[in-house]
Amino acid sequence: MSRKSAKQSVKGATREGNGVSTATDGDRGPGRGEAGGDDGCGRGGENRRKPRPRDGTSGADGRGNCGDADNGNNHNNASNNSCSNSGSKGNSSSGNRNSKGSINGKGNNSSCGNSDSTGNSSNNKGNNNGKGNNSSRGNRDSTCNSSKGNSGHKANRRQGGKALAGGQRWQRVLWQQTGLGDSYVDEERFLEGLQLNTRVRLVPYAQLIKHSTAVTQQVAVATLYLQVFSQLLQGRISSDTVCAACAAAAAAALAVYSVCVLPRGTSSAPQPRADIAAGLSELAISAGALYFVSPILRTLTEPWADDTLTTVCVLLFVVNLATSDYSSAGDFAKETVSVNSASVASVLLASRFEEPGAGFATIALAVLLFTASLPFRRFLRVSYPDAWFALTWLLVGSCFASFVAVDACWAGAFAAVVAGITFAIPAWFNYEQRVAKMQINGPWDEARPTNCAAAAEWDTAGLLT
Amino acid sequence: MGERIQLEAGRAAPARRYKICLVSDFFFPGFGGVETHIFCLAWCLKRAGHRVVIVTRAYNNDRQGIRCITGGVKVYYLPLYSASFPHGVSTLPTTLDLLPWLRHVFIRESVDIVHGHQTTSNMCQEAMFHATTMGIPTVFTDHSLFGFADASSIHINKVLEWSLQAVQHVICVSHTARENTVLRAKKRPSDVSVIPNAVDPAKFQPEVSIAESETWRDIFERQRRSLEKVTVVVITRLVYRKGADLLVDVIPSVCAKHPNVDWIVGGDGPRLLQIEQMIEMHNLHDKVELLGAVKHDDVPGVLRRGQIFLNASLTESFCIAILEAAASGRVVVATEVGGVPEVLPSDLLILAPPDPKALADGVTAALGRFPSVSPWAQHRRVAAMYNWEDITARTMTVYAKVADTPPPPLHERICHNLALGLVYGCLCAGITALHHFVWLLLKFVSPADGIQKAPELPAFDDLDGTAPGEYGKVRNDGEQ
Repeated sequence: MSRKSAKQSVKGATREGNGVSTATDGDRGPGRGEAGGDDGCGRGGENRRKPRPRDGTSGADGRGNCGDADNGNNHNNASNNSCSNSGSKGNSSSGNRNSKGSINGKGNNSSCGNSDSTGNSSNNKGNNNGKGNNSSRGNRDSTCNSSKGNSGHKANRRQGGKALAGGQRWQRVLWQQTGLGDSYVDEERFLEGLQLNTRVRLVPYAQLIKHSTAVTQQVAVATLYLQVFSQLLQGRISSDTVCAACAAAAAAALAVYSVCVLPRGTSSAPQPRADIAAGLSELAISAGALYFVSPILRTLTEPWADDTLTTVCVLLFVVNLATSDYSSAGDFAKETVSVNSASVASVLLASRFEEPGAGFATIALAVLLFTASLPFRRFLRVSYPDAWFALTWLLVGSCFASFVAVDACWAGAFAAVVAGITFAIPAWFNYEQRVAKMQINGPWDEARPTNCAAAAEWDTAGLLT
Repeated sequence: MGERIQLEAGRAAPARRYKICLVSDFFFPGFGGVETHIFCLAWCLKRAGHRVVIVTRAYNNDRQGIRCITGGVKVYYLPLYSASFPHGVSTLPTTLDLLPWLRHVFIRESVDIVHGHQTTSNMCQEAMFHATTMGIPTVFTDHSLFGFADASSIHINKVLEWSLQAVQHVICVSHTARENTVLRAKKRPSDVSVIPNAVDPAKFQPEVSIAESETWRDIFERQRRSLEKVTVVVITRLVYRKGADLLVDVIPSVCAKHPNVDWIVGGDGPRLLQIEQMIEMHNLHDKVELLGAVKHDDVPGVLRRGQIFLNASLTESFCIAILEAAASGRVVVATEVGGVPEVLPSDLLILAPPDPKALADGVTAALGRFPSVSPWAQHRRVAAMYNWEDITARTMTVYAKVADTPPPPLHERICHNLALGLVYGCLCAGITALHHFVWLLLKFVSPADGIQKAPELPAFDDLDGTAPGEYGKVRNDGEQ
């Protein structure tokens, strides 16, 4: 079933059994539009399936929910009012043990002098019989209370649970039978620990577009290369033009880099002047070598049919696009697979030319676009994001212009692909996140140990699924 | 079927006797909660007058074929290839592989109800599926909790959703587990019962040398032992899930706060090295004793060596270890996860969040509480709360509920399957149809009449009043 109907079936699963009316905004989850931060706090009523009364007793609910959504921070906020609740506070067994953000209950221990609710689990709520009468057992240890303080937000369970004979209420316990049957579903307490979409981070559409521009840029780069190659092959451009354009672009990038970076230096390039000098000399050597080697290239793919070559190059470029690192924090040196596949493709394509000059031009262009431009683009993205954004559209524009000059059909296709990647797919993603996302958390989740270095080591090593 | 049989004085047989087939990948000689549950359930069902057969996979080089276990319960160790999965060793996921085997077993044993155990057991899912194809009512018991977000859980949940569509009734071992199952498999809550596990009080009890009303204070006085010289016992697999990393922080902090406390850590696993390093770093060689892997038969003895039991698991749907420790009269400290808070009342169980500091505080609280605890009184209480006969009686209620409702017919099942999703639904419906077809083929190739029905083995109970010459004869008391 579709995710939407799955959501409804989850609601139905609870409804059928217990007739509960779910929270108003059930399907939509928490209020949307907050970028980055969790908005679980203060939205307890909407997040949860069952709205909670906003009285003092469940002020702790909001806090609890807050803390749970707060990914591991220890909340020590104004929950102390919950401590002053007499008697009923205790800690419910079904409490929001949302362990991933489990609150360190220390926040409300020392101030809690509750004598009759220390160390209680919910099974003692409203039970004034001899069972677990704490005061008689001397279990006033406030440390006990602290250890369970974090589920104190599930405080007042007096209202919950079906009333049974003898003034007791149905409890979520296994050691006591109520006579209502094992398949009895308590309307108020079933799925009380369920949390829907409490930790969903919604990214606004504008930011999504910015992120997807990285993909568009790489697509534009690849398309530009292929377009220049085809023009060269058809003889519409001369190889000298291409070489000159490459040199000019390289010089421009170098100029920008030296103006912006050299005066300051960057953390990864403490000696930019020396680096640039070294890089230029390497570039000169390899360019020279390439120029002299390029006549040999001609025979590389001679026996290949055009179709084979096209297929192979398309696959290689797909690999390039698929394995490029589009995140803003990546190190370009790790993009080995993508760079290599593009280089291989360019060598194969360069071998199609009769005159070696064109082959050299193609490879030079490929090196510029796929290898040398990576650090420059990364630098732009980190330091001047607007310029980087503009560069993308410059590349897209030039591609589009070259397509228009050749064939309107290709131009249209290219425009559609770019629009799809940059605008349509983020819009779809946005829609799915807001409508169909159903993140389920509850007491059944595996707990995340807090303040535990050994467990954190497991986590950071990426060994936890 | 249908007669009342008086087995023992005071224990009346159920009004109807069923032939129950318990199916799971996990059974003895493997060991765990599921295995114990199946064994105890089979034993108690047999004593209650039902007829039981267990079907499980072969344990290579160890057990294959048909065996009988205590009480006259037959166990089929089917010769199937099994592999080690993250959740345990089970048979490979197939759909048609077991159909001929299970059909043969079900017909031969005249099975009335098929009861499968554990989500991660492939045999269980297949058995329930084939039983539904054959028109036998099915019951399913889920013993674990699963998440919703990681890849393996998503797949398991999808399969479970399909699998539980045709199951008449589901049993979960705690309220949290029921909520988890309802959400995962989208099952109606009223079709899911909560029937917990239990503990064998004869096996897990305090030392016989302790008198009935003695508290730990009295015992320590008698032994001329300081109340501070307490031993904390931890018996767990040393893996992340069971909170072994928490132990690394809890043990030193407790030892620092209470210098006279000793620790016994039983169990083996990948985190053993971590524990050993911790001992080295804090110089706790004389305080912490590592036992390595503890066999199940030795667990009661190890429990009796301590006064406090600590369980630091990060996820438990129903922690039997806690029950075992409580039944042994020990003070239990456990993390507040999953279904643990539902297991025992707060005066028998100290709960703490999965935080080393809080757990250390919990141990301190246990140290404060334990002098006034009377082991035998606690044992009696726990034994009264949880016993296998009661669990079995509740399970028999479930059996009675489903015995008369046959599974839905083929067309209904296919419609339900199609509702699972666009692609997945078609796949499931296709498999269901294929199974039906193969079943019809099998009916033609090896008809049910040609399969010899197995006689019922007499349980030792039934021998009372039997003449010596009749021992071993097939009793003809109305079995079909």
